[in-house]
Amino acid sequence: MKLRGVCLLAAMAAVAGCAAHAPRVVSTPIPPPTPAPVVVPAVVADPPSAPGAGPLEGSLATGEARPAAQTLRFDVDALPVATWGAAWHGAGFTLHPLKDGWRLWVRTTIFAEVIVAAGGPSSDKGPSPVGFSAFTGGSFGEGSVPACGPGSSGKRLAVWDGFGPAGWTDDGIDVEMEEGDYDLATCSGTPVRSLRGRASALVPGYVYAVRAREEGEDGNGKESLVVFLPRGALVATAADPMTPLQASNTGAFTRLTFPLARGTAGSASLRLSPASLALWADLRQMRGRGGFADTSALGENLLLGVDVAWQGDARLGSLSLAVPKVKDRKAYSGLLAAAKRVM
Amino acid sequence: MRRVVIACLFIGACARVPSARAPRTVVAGPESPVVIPVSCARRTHGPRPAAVSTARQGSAVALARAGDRLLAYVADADSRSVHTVDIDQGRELVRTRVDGEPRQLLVLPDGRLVASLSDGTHLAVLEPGDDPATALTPICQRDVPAEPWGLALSADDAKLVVTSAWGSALTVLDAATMDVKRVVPLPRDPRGVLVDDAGTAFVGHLVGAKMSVVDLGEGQGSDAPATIDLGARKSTPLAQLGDRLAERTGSQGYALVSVALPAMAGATEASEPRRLLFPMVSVDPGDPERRSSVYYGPPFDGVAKQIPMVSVVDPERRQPLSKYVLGTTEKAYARECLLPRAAAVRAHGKTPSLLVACFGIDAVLELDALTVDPFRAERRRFAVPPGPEGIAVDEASGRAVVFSQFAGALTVLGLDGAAAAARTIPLDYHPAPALAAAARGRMLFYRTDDTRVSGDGVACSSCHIDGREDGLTWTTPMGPRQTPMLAGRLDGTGPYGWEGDRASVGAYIANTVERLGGKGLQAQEIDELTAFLLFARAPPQPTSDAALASRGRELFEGSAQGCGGCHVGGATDAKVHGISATAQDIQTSFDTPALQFIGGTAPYFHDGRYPTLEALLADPGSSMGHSASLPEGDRAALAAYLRSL
Repeated sequence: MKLRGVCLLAAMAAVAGCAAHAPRVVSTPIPPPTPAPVVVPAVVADPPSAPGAGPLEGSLATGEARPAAQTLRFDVDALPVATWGAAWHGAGFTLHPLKDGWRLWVRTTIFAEVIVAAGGPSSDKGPSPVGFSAFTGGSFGEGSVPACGPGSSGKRLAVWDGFGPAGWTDDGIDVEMEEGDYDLATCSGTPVRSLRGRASALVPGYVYAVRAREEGEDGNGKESLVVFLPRGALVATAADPMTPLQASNTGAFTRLTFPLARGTAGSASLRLSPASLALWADLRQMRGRGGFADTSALGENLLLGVDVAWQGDARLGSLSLAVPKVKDRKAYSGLLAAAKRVM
Repeated sequence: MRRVVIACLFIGACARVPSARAPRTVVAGPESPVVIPVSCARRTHGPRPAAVSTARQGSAVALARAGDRLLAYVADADSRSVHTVDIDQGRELVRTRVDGEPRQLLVLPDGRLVASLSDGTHLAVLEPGDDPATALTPICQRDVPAEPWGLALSADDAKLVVTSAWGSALTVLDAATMDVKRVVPLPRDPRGVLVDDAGTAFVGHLVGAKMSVVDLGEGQGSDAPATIDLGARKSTPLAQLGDRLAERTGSQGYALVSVALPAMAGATEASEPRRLLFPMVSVDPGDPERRSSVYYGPPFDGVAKQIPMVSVVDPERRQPLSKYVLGTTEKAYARECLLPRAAAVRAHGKTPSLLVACFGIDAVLELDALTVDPFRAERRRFAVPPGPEGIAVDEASGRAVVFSQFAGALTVLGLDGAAAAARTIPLDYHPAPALAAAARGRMLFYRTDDTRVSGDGVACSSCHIDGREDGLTWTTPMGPRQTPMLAGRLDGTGPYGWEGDRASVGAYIANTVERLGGKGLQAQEIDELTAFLLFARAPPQPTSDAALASRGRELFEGSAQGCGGCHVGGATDAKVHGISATAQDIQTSFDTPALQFIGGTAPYFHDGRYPTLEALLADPGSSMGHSASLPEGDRAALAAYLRSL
């Protein structure tokens, strides 16, 4: 067989004698198989045996594997735009001290998050670490609330945003975003600029998004995609870990913010539990909650991911849903059915 | 010369002999050789099977259509053969032996087939006959730097590019004549390659989380390649802030593909952007400044130290879109794709899929190709026979064809419909007897998710990639430890381990498994792993400046430098020696490592403190002989000698 290969090569190389640096060939005709090829399911139990390569006995890890995901695509440019403008003077929030905490009142929106910086006022324009954050619609907050009221003074940067039950439909919600100052003397926040608009549904009834636009002096604006959705757990965002609340915040609901810039992308991933979906339903129906208890195993909760990328002229978003193998999928049936309608 | 030629003819080992000669055929003569260029042009006329893919990229499986027949050419490195398989009939037509281990195949527009022969320094060009069932005819070979691997064509089909893994280079050839036009040095371990419509080559690197960019345009010969850093951070609320700020690196970067973005409103076809998809494993080897309480990287804190990611790159801006791995689990996932080996894209309307073939779990994962990290959007997975080395997609019939190297089999996956079926086609598989004897050890070496081997799912090949190394220094309770090369460096070089505390390879494997948190292997399995490691293919012998290396050898062996006293003949004196340790080291004495293939295994020292051989030789505090006091030229000679080992 080898000799035949060598001679065949020599003929093809069209040179006298055999070439040292040319390839050899040995052809091996393969007879048709009998019987016909086997059709097996996608899961192949027994691979065809190769010399020496029999199946290995062993102990494979038994942990949870990544659940299969369904993805829906959205065109960022097709989402509604809301533009930052002059302060709306009806907006604001107030903190009232209680015996063992604080009560947060937010005007105009019913469900809102408030983030107050640890540093200076909004006029400082520089980044500042978060002092505290709080939510209406339940008892949610983190950080340290500074003393305020008579005897206190100074202002701190404050941002707050949210949405109300009025106008909450499966297709959209009315959103409000404010940026201003928290006055330590009065324990209240006042806006210096405001944004109002309507977010449209990525998943009807569950996930809403709006493009928040900031006009620049040169005519070029900056945009962020702001997403509101039910309260998530284990929220992970592709964002600077030094400014985590700018990218997301979680309390009575979860807000995700993705800066939109050409050549960049943002992404986030979180878990939605049956309890968080129940809380979301309560918000929509104006059923208040004093507290929130979630005893579910995080690994059994629905995994939701959002990402946005601006590449070339295309601004493409994806939302993925993955349900682990849990005993009861009914808790997610409404969300999954809504997502299926837009996939 | 005559003796060499005759020997090669009969043992068929030419491809293992390094050659710096021009790509020509040498015919022996009585006095001096007569050099005759061998043309790479087609020898026959008539239609030949046409490439199915429009990606113009090589793969271990190349699909072609001959009339209404779908053919698969399969690069079977174990059998040193290219199989021709009729996919519709479900049977192999012919096996063609080639003079090396074919790694990737690429069907050229005129029907010729290019094969990268990774165990040497050659490309082979083959030609199908009128009948697909006849053997492929070899036309010519071309020399390229060591270990040719990835293949791709330019958009105009005029240029063929090939990466050389061990040779760290991209070679540009004229696709018609196969004349070498340009050799571009690259960072270590270039593997997958593709060329975009603008004539820019993108090259993925096996380790280091990086991609090289080479402009193939005329007059670009002197331009150094650009590098895209694909390092990512982790984001998880379970991790400490300091750990979230750490930049991760990467490994297992074998495959590189691209996907077109769906047309948006107002977009024109001319502006249709594409994304590069680079499956790899994001790796956190730990902070070398900290002494770790556990072996090999930090414990799970929401993100595993090795986690699969697809780095998505904007080729126009040459920057990554994926910069974070997100952790949304309290416990690490099982059955992750920790050894991604090959990839292909199914462009299916607005929902294209990225198919990733994974060693270890022996599966093909279908991922959403348009997400920022497709591994987070897994649609489904297909089990395939062991060692899925290559994958190709036939868009027309909605099928993927997967080559499983360890089983010598093709699997045809139906991608349409919920109840997708798979059909397996056994190939005429003929591994060398020594490989067959090591086959079980090889399967074990690549096995991920085996609790006997590790507690967190990693495989032997996660760090010792293909028996080599990952270029990383890992944290351990003993101090930082650089991953040593194994392939070609184990036989007779005991004791083993940086501490030199294990007399045999088997004893060291047992100890390594224990450090990885594995439950332990049976003696027979350790023997099987040992057999594979002693067989594992070493890189092709490097070429070097012989005169410079010879001078370097004199210096190395000379008593003034003292190198050869411990690294006897470039190997080892089998002893431990005290050297300069760091604050993280528990002890100060380390085994003398063998130095074979050291030129391609940076960084150096047990703690990876030297990024290059030159840096090591120039440091008076290295405790390595007296090389720092040598003139620069002599140090260069020493480095040349080391690179020749």
